[in-house]
Amino acid sequence: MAKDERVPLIVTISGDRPIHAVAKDLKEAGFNVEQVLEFAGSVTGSAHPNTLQNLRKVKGVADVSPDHSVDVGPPGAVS
Amino acid sequence: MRISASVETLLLAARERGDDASTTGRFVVTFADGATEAGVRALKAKRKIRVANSSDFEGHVFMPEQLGGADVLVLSEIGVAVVSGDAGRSYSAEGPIVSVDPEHFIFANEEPNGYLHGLLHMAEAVGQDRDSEGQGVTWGVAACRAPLSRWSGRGIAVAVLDSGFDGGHPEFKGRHIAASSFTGGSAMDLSGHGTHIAGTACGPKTTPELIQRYGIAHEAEIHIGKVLGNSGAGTQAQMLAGMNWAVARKCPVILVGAGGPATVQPSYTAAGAAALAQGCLMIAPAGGSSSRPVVIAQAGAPANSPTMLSVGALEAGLEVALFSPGGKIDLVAPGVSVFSAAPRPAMHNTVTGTSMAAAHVAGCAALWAQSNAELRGEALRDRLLASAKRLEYAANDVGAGLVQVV
Repeated sequence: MAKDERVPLIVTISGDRPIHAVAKDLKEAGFNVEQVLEFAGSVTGSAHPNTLQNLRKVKGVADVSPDHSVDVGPPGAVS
Repeated sequence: MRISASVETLLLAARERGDDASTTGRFVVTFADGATEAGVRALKAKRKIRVANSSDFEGHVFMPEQLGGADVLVLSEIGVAVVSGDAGRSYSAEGPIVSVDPEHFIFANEEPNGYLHGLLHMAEAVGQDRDSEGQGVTWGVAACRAPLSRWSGRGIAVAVLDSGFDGGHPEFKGRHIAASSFTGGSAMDLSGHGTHIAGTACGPKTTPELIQRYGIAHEAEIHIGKVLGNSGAGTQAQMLAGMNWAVARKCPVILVGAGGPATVQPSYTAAGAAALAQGCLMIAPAGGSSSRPVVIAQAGAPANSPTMLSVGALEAGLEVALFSPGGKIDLVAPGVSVFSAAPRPAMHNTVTGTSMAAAHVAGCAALWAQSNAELRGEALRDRLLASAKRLEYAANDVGAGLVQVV
């Protein structure tokens, strides 16, 4: 699997299992873990799109969504 | 400072240096009319230097990094040379060298009309709103009734997750400021957005110069999480990292300055829930893509998550701003022509957006949190909603109404 085929993803944890255990299982399911955000309840990283179904099946995973860009948005106008 | 340094490098170095942030640390040498070649010889005679000439590049067009290790860049067409800091200090005006001056930054927003507009706006607002000591206050600070509050936010940690902060801003001298960056560089703010919203939420009560009071929680602790790059953009992963950091620090008030897509993001909902469980409240701008009255966009993420306090924007007449979204709106606050802090050397700026509205709510939240240690998480949210000033608008435009201080 070429690295550049991976897409950035945000995995939201359901909270019924320790987050580090979920992160470990995600890794085994093909998720390249970048951040384990214990206090925010999510794990960020990247994976190949065809692993998505497997990632969603990992016990303790509530959601797997693409990482979106964030910005200050309109209008941000200077008057 | 090297000739090949980028503007960002120069700005960061200037702010870290802190002496006079309007200069780059390099020098500009002006040669006598027609004496450029003689002038360059004079520069070389004084010390060993490597010289790059704009005429070496086709059309005199080049990028700073193409200048490599040069100490001097000669702009032969205009009879001027830019000299690195080390070399520049050894030169003075003599012979073909007419003048040696510190190089200054230029800023797009420093055009005269903008400056004049700012002054007029300030004069107008100073005339309208004064606190008990007669100091002028911004229309936003007045609308939240902050001058009437006996609370200051003292002891309350306010996290600001945005483009960073200019920690050397003189109006924040002596304040408790902690900063972390999730973007790979320093937490210094070059975009100005983060400094502006931190200024509204936590700016000083009084300032040494005759300007308006623009800040609400003037004694709160400021915890800066830089999650946006200097272009004002970042990733959701960076934002979540900042949220995680702020909840780990148990900041009772977490101001989320930026947003993204329109749909509810489960990760933000979870982060907001985790925050509430730890006694923290995340306050987020609803976004700004409406064109009222024709188009009313839905509040964006993360504000649209049920665990976040979603804030829309009001104009000075307490009317809903034309860009302010609808739908999941919990509160509204001043968000049009908001005067607040800007990174040096500009110092102040007037900006519009729901981020500015969310910043007012964060400042008010810090005062409520200080007034009663029970007001944390959901209790703080409920109190902000219950104490809001009701407005003659539908709840999906203004939520509970205009935020008010305790």
